[in-house]
Amino acid sequence: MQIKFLTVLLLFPNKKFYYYIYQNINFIALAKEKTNKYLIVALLIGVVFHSSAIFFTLESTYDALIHMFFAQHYATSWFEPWNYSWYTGFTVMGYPPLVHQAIGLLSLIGGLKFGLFTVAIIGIILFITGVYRYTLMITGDRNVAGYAAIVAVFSSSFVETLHIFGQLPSIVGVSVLMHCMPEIYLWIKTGRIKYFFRSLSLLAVTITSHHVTPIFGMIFFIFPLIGTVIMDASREQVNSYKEVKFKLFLFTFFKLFKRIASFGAGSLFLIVFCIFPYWVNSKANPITQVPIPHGSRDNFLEVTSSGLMFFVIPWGVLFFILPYILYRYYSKRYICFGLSISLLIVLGTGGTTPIPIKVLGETAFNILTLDRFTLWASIMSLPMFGEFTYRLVEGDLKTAIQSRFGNVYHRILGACFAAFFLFFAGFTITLGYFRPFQPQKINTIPLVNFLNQDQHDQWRYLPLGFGDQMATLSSQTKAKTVDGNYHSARRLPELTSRAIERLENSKFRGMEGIGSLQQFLTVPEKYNLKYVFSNDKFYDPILYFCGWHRLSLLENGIMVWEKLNVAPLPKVLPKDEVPLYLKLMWGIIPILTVIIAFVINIQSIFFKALKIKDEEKADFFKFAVTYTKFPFKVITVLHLWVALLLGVIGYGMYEIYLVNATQISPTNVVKSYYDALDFKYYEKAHSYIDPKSKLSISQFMLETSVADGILNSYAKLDAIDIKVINSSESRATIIAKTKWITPLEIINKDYYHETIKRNGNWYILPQKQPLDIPPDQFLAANTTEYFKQGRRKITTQQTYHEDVLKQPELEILSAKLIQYNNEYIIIGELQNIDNFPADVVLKSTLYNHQDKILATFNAKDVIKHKIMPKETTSFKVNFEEISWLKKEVSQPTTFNPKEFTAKDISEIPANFDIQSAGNVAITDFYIQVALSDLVIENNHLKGTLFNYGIQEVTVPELLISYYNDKQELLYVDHYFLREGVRVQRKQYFDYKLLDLTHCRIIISSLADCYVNGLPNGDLARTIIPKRNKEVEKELLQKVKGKGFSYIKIEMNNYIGNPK
Amino acid sequence: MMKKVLYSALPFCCFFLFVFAVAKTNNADATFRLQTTQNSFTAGTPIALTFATASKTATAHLFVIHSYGKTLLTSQNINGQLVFHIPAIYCIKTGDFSWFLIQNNKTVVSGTFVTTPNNTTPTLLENYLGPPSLLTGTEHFTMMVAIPTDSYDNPKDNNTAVYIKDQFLENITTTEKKTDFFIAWKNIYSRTKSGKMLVSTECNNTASKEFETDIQPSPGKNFTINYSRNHKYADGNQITLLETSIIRDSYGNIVGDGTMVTFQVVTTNDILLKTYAATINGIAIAQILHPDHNETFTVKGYVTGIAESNSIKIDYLALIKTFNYEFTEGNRKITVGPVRSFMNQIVPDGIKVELKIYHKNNLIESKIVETAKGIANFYLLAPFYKEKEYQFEISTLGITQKTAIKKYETN
Repeated sequence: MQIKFLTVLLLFPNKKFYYYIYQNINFIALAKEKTNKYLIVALLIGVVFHSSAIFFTLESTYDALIHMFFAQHYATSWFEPWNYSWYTGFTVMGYPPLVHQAIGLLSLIGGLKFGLFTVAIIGIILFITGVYRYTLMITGDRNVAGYAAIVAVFSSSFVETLHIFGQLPSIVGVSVLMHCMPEIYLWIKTGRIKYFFRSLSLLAVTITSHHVTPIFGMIFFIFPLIGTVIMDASREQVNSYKEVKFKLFLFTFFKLFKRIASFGAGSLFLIVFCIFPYWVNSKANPITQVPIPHGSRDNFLEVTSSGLMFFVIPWGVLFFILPYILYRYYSKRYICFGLSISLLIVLGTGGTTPIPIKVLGETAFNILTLDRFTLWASIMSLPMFGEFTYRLVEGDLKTAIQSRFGNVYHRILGACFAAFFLFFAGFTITLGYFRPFQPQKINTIPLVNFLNQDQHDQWRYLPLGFGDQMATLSSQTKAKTVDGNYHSARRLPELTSRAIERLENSKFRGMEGIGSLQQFLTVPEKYNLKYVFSNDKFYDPILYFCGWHRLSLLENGIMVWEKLNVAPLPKVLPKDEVPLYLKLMWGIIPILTVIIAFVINIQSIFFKALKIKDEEKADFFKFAVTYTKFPFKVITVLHLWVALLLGVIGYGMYEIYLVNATQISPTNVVKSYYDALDFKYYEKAHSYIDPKSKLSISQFMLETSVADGILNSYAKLDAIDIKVINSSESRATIIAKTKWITPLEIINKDYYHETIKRNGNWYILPQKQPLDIPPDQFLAANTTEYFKQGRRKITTQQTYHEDVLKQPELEILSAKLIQYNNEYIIIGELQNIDNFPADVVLKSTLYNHQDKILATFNAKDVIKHKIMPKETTSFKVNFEEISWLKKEVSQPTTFNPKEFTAKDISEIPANFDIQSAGNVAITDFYIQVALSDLVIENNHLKGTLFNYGIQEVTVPELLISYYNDKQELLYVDHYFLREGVRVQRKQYFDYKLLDLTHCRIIISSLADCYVNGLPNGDLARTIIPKRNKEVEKELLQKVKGKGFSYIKIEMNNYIGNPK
Repeated sequence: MMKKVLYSALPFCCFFLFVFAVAKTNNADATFRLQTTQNSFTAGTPIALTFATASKTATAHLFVIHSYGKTLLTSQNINGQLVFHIPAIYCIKTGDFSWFLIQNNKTVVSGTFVTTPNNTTPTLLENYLGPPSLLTGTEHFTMMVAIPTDSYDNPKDNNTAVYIKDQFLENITTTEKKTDFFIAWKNIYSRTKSGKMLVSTECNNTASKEFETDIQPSPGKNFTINYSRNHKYADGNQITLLETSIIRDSYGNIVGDGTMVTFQVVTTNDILLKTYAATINGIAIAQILHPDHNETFTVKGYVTGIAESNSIKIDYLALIKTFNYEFTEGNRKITVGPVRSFMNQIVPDGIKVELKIYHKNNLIESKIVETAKGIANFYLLAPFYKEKEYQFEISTLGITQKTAIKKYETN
C-alpha cells in the first residue's frame, strides 16, 4: 500500500494531486480500521515464543499426554465411546471431546504429536486474539486491547496452564469464550440476530471443548457481562454513569429481558444438547471417587509449594497491581465484573480461607480443582492489566508519575515492572526444567515391543513410577492396564474408594496408595494382571514379597516383573453399551460446532483481518473512557500495596532462609544431612560431616553404600523430628527421630548425632561403622540354578501341550482357621514335594453355614512364594477389605503400609477352603542364610543371621510360627529386618514375641484344601507314602511364651540386585 | 398431480401382483420317495440324496442333522426329481446323518445314513503323553494316547491297530493296542532308575514324533552328615562346613538337584539354630559360623517329613580365658582389651563385646561394640548417664566379668 502510494507520488509530481491523495488516504484511514500493530506483534511473539517452547514443555506437563491418549482413542474408534485400555474399561464420554477429536483428526495427517502441537498452537492464537477482543469489548480502546494482547502472551497464568499443566481443553474453552463475549454484548445491546447466532455458535465450541468453562463462565463472565450491557444501555438514556440508578437499571433490564432470556435459553439448550451424552453418562455413572487431594485445595500458607503453583505463579505480577484492577472493576460500569472477580480471587485461595468451602459446598469443593478460579481471575484481569500498562507506558499514568516523581523514577519503575513481569513468565516456563514434575522421559518402544511379543498383551499390565507418561504407553499399545490417568472415569471400588491419583505413583499417597497397590499385587488374577513395569525400584520389595519375580531388564532400564498363575483376559470383555444416538451425537456434534462457528463467523473474521469492508463500529466503542487524569490516590494506594507485598515477601524469604540455611544451627545441619541422604545427594551430605574428621568422600560413599537394606535402599524419609539433648557453644548432641516410609512397612528409627561448630558452621561428627571382617577373601559357591524354555518351537501359536510343564506337586501340611484380635485368619504350612522348584499361589475362602462366601483373599507376604524342592513354608492369609469402602470409617492420616482394613466378617465362618497352585519357578531361591545365634530373653528373640552365600540379601524376612503346647500351629507372624545381610557378614535382629493368649483355633482341617485343583494329599500320598510327623516336631524351638510354647523361624530372603 | 399418484401407485400394484403370482405357483402337496439306496458313504466323497415325486412342480426342503451341525437344503424339481447335494464340509466328516424332507412345514419323509472314515487316505496320528515327568518306582505311570485318523481328521474305526513304543536306557518296548472309541492308549509304568524315557506311536505306516517323559528320583531316604572346619576354636568368625552323604531314593537314585536340606544345630542351652542347603548330585553342603564362646553343637540334617540324618556333635573351645579392661576420662571411657586369641594373636576385628550397665543392680542398658585391633571402647556420655554411680558387666567370647561400682561426677 505504501509502496504503491510512493510510486504514485513519483509518477505525479503535482502538488494538487498530492493533496487530493492525502485527503483520500485520510478518508480511507478514517473509514477503515487500521490493522492493530500491537495485536500483530502479540501474535507474532506469542506464536514464536510459545510454539517453540511447547516442544520442550508440553510432553512433560501433567495433562497433555492424557489428552493425547484420548485423541488416540478417537483416532482409532471415533464413534465408540468405550475404551478398554484403562481401569478395566471406561467411557470417554466423561470428558468433552472436541480437543481430543481435533488432535485425533490431525493425527491422521501427521501423527498424534503433530495433532497435539497443532491444537496447542491454535489454542495459543485463539487465546491471544481472544484476549484482544475481550479487552476491546471491556475498554473500547484498540490500543489498550493491543497492550492486553501483548501482556497476555507472557501472562504467567497462561504460561502455567499451557506449559506446566498442559490443559489444552481449558485454554481452548476459555479463549473461545472470550471471542464469544463481544458477540453476546452486541446481541443484547443491539438485538441484531446475526450477533445472536455468532454468540451461540461460539458458545457451542466452548461447551464441546471444556464443560466446566461454560458452566462457571456463565456465572463469572457472562452474568457480569450482561450486567455491563444493561449498565451501558441505561447510560445511553442518561448523561453519565452517575445518573444510572437502580431503578433505571432494573427498567433497562426488563427492556432487554427478551434478548437476555433468549440468549440464556439458547445457551442452556446448547450446554445440554452439545454434550448431551456427557450428561447422560454423568447420570448413569455418577462419580463415586472419593476426593483426591489436590494442591489447589491446600492452605497455601502451610503448603508453600501449593501456594506457589496455584496462587503465586498464576497471579504473578498481576498481584502487584491488584488494587488498580479492583479500582477499575469496581467503577460503576464494571461493577458486576468487580463482584465476579472478587469472588474468583477468594475462591482461588483454596483452603487458605474458609470461604471457598462455604461458597461451593463440600462436594463441589472436593471435586473441583480451585486453581481454575485463579486462572479465570487472572484472565479477567488482563484487560485492566493491558490498560494499566498502556497508561504506564504512554498514557496518563506516565504523565502523573513523571510530573510527580520525575522521568528517571518512571523509567526505573517501568523497567522493574517489565523485568518482574518477564521474569515471572520465564520462571514459570522453566520451572519444569529445574524441578521436574515427571520422571525422566521413558523410551516406550521396548515396552511396546515387549507387549507385542509372545502374546504378552493378552494380560493386563501395570506401570510403576511412570508419571503421566503412562498415558503415552497406553496410546501406543493395545494392551490394557488396570491403572489409568483419568480418575473420574474409574469404576473399580478398589480405586474409587481411595484418594489416590494413580497406582503408578502410589508411594506419594501413603497408606492408601501402597495399600491399594498391595491389594492389586496380592490378588492379580482378579484383574488378569500379569506384568508390572517398574521404573522405580522403591516398589521392588513389595513386588517380591507379594510373589512376583523379575523377568528381564528392558533396554530402557525398566524392569519387567511377572506373576505366575494368572489367566489371560477373556476374548470378550464387558462394556457398557450406550444407545446409538448418543454415540452419533458424541461423534458428530463437537466437530460440527466448529464447522458451524467457522461458517457463521468467517465473514466477520475475514473482514476484520483483511479490512476489506468497512465494519460499523461496535457499540462498546461508545463507552470507552478517555485516559486523561490518573487519580493520584490510586498511585498512592498502589505504592503502599507494593511496599506491603515486598515487606511480606521479604519476611517470608528470611523465614525460609532461617529454616533452610543448612548449617546455621545443630538441628539445621542434621535435618539437611537427612534431606541430602533422602535424595541421595551424597556429596552434599558429606559436606555436612566435620571436615576435621578427615572422612574422605569416597570413604563416606563406601560406608553409606555398603549398608544395603530396606532402610537404605527403599525408604523415603517421611518425617524427622530433631531434638537437642545437650548443647554448648560449640557442641551439641542431637537425637533425630526419623520416620521412614518403605513399601513394606513404616520404620521409626532414632539416630544419635554429635555435632560440632567450626568457623560459625555446624557439622556432624561421623559415626562408627561395623568392623566385622568376613572370614574369606575369595569364595566359590555351587548352587543349583534353573532354566525353562517356555516354548521350544518358535511359533506365534499357543504353547504346544508337550511344552507345558507339569505343575509342581505341593502338599498342605496343616491348615487352620484362627481368630486373633477379632480377625479371622487362615494359617498353615505347605511343602513343595516335587523335584521342580515351585512358585506358590495360595488363595483361601471363608464360608458361613449356608456355604455362602464371606471373604476370599490370597496369601500376601507371610509365605515364601518361591520354594525349592522339599522346602516348606508357613503361610498366613489375612482377609482384607477393599479399604475404606465405608465412608464412615475414618481414613488414617498417617501412612502405614503394613496396615490394612480387615474385612468385617459379621458371621462366624463355618468353613474355609484353600486353593493352592504350584507353577515351575526358576529364580529367587536364596537359602544361604543361616540363623547363627539366638537368645530368647524378656519375651524377645535376639538373633544373628549369617549370609554364607555369594549374593547380598537386601531385605531378609523372618517367618515366625507359633505353636501351642501340643505342638500345633497357632499363629504365623513375620518380621522384616531393616538392614540387609552382606556376603559372609552377620546381621542382628531383635523381634518381640507376641502375646497369643487370646488367639484361638476355630477349625483345623485339611478337608477342603486343594493343590493344583486336586484334593490335597491324594497325589502327595503317592509321592510320600508315609510322612514322619514326629521328626517335624524336633524342628520346633521351646519357648516360655504368652499363650504358646514353641516357635519356628524361617527365612525369606529378597535379593535386590542379583549378580 | 394425478400422474404423480399413478407413478407411485404403479410399483406397488406390480409388487402385489408378483407376490400373488408367486403364491399361486406354490406347492401343492405331493408324495416323495427316496431314490438313493446307498446308506453308508465314505468320508470325502460327494453325497447327494435324490427324491422322486409324481408332481412336476412340487418342491421341498431337506433338513439335515449331522454331528457337524444342522442345515436346511433346497432343491429344484427337475422332471419330478429332487436332488439334494450335501455340502462338502458335511461330506468329509464321519458320523450319523438324519434327514427330514419337509414340505409346507411338514415332514414328509425322513431317514438316516452314516459316513465312515476314508481308509484310502493317508493315516494321521494325534498323540498325547502325560504327565511329562514321573517319579521312579513301580506305581507311577504316564499315559500315551494315540488317535489315528483319516486325512479328513475323522477317527479311524474301532480296533485299528496302533503300535506304542517306549525306550528307556537299553530297552525298547513295542506294544500293539487297538483303538476303542477312537483312541488307543497305554499306561507306561515308570522304572526304578531315573532318566529320560522316549515314547512314540505308529499306525498304518504313519509314525508319530518323539515324545518324552522324565523319570525323576523319588524322595530320598535317610542319610548321614559330617562336618569339616578350619580350627576348633570358638572365634565367632570362621566357618564350619556341614555336608551330607549322597542322598538317594529307595531305588538308589541320587535325589533331584535342589532338594532342600535343613541342618538344625542344638546348642548346649537348647537353642535351635539353622542353616540350609540344597543338594547338588545328592550332596548338600551348608555352612555355619563358629560360635563366639565355648559351645557344643549337636547337628542333624532333615529333608522335612521325608528323611533325616544321624546327629553329630561338634565341640568348640573357648578362645580366651579372661580379658582386661580399664576406665579412663573420669570413668566415662571403658576400654576392653586387647583381646588375644589362641596363639596370642589379636582377635579378628568385629568380635562382639557387650557392656551391661547397672544402676543399683537394675539393668539400665546394654551396649554392644565390636573390637578393632582387639580393643573395644565404650563412651558413657554425661547427658545420657546422669546418675552418680554405675556398675558394669562386660562379656566377650563367652567370658563375663563384673566390674566394681564406679562413681561419676555430675554437673
